Amino acid sequence: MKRLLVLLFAAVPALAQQVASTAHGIVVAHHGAVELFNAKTLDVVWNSGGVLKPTQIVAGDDRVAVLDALSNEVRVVELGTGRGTTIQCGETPVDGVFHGRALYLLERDARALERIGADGAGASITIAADPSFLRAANGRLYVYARTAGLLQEITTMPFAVARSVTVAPFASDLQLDGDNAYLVYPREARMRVIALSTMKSAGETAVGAVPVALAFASSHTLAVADPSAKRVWMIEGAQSFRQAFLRGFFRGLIGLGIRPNRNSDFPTGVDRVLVRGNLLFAYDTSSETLYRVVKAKSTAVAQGIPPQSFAITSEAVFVWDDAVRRLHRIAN
Amino acid sequence: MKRPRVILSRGDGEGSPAGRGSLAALGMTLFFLFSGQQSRLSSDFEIQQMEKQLATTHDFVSQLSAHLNLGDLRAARSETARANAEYKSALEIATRERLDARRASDMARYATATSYAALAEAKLGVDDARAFALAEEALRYTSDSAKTWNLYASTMAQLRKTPKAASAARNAVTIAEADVQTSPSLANRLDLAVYQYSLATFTNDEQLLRTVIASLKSSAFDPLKSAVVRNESFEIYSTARGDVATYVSLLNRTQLRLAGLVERRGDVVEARRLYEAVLASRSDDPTALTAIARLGPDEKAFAAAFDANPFSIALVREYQRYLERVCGRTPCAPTDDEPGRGAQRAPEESSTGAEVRRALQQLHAGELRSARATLDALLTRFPDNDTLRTLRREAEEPESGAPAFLTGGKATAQPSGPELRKLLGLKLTPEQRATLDQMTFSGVVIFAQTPFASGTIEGVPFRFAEPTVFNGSFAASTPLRLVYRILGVTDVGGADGLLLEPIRIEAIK
Repeated sequence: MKRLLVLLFAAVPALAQQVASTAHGIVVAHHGAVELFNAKTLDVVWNSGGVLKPTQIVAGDDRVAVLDALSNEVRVVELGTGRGTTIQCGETPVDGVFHGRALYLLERDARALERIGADGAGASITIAADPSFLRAANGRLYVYARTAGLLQEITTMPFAVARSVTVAPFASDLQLDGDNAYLVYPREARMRVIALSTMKSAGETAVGAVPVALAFASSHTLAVADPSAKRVWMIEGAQSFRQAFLRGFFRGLIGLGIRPNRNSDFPTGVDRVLVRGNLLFAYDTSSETLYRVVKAKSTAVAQGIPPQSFAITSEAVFVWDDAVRRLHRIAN
Repeated sequence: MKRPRVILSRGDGEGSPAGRGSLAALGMTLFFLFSGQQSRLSSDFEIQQMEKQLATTHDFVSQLSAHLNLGDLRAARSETARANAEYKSALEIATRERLDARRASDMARYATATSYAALAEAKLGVDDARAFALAEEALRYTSDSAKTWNLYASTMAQLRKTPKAASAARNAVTIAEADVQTSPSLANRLDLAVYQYSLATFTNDEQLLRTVIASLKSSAFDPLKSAVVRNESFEIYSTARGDVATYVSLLNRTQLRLAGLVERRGDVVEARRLYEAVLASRSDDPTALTAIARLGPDEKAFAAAFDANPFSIALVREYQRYLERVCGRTPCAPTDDEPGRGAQRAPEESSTGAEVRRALQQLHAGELRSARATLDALLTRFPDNDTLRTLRREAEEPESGAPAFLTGGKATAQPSGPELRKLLGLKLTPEQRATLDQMTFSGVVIFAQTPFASGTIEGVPFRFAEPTVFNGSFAASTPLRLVYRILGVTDVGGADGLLLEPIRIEAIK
């Protein structure tokens, strides 16, 4: 019997907090500090200065970057030592990736992608309006500009936009595998695919009622969170995508999803989906409930946990309780 | 059912049955950057209307817009506690609506309710990160909605994140321009004008404001202009429901914003013309009246501005600067005819605005005891008013330091008017009291009448404990030199003054 963690954040304003898993342990950013916890013992390995209102943690192999999108600050911390540097960045850093030793920051309201080298040296390129998602694949970076409706491929050496393709605007999530970019559109209830080799459309399909987020459940299967249907749709991915897509298109149109036997239903509408190893988790932002899915059956793991206050590894779910400033571990 | 737009927020067509009671009917928020600085007692009407709306209509849109408007109206009157209570109610309503919409799997409704929850959270000002998270959450579902971006911009502006607000407003305008291209309906044009106003506000774009005004005055809006005349619409809301209310509010705010920018770049003549254009539509607009008074400056204009909103702290500070400029360090109540040499007494009018001006004049004159009495009387009528509380605190606090003659170590002194006024506001320590009792002073007095009982010394009111007849021939209303002791502070004809013990009097040679 797995236990259900119930936290009561509602009574007091929940200050911004972020949790992320790294190879060195669990990183928690809260109350202007960054802490690294041992993932097994939950002991504090180190703590360091942070940012005032963390909105995201970007994890690399040996460093993390804690973003404060409100104050336009980034705290880059060495995972090995806890030493860190705070950097003022462009307007509204909403996403980032580490590529080698460099941090690439997506600054939405500056309409810029900034590179911050290990030595702190910066460079920036201008990108299209409302850049919302930054992903990496095949040694390149991909930025989706949401209102502009543009997917841009960026090389890191030289640091420049290499190719762009016009796609439908207003997607709510972007994921890449080595071959394709997948975008979901909540209003249209569609998923569109761009082949990265050609930077051209590889097709589109109807998905559920309001698909909001997606994740790779395996190399060939996509999990799509649909809060309106209160379901995670399982969709075949890219292996022979054009064939699979053709099948998916028709199935999607009648709202079944491509892998109807593996779709998962939930008591509330889930809008985020996460995969760790063979495990699938889904999260409902409105009720702040995290679910685990086993054989298409969902079970609540934790309730009353704000978005980004938890991290999941293949072994456990880690939840930060801001009221008592304590990290909980729930074994998978 | 009318849908609100936020430049505000406003509602859809007047009486439109579409979207009755649903979030689909929600329009947008017109965001008034200067909403925190303005309001009027003339806003009493808007407050009444919103309270009536709360009592008679119970759908989400009506309740939400009423609470947001009441919050803004109260905030503009420096009633922060009451404003926050309204914002809290708006947040609770929006939160409930979010959950209901989610349960009903209505994600568009959920997104709109989430946008409004973000705005209410930002207005409350307790948890910036939460407001930001809510605004971002709404964008996940409706990033294709100009209304969502405009609400996002309003939320960011409340959080004082102007570059973020400008960026979001730019997205709203881009989407709305495409909507107008597709369907150039009156509602879409009005929506575009709202978003352009927001963008111009966050980027200080004078030309774009002129574009909005030209658009609103164009024949495209003739149906709304006719409705404004027909309905005698004049109310200004930050969350306006219905096209007519939105039109009236938007035109008012755009003109004011433009006037402010023009004034800032130094074109006083053009700025005045623009403010007067606002007053032509609404004669008691407090922002325009304040600006006219500032540009004058003259007492009559200040009187009108104070009558419109006596509790605007911006107006209070403006008036204090005016008093300093016109009266210098001497007490005065400037008049229109002789702004620098007005009557000695505060205005006799009985409006709330006049009472606040009286308190300010008393503060300026150093008549702290009288100012406290005036402010206390006002506070009994407006107990939640932050401006009055601020002024009351200032009336408690004497200017820093004691007059020089109290610390000079001498037995005699000829204190100046400012030094005597500083003494009026000073809470004496026992040591200072002892020093004062041992000193004798001299200065120029003018007695009000004979036998000599009261008058002014170096411009400061004083009186004796009882009428006094001096040996010699001395006249009232003539400068004389008085040697005296200071017994304390007392009431002199309703104002703070000095209680003096005369030692001798002599003519000035």
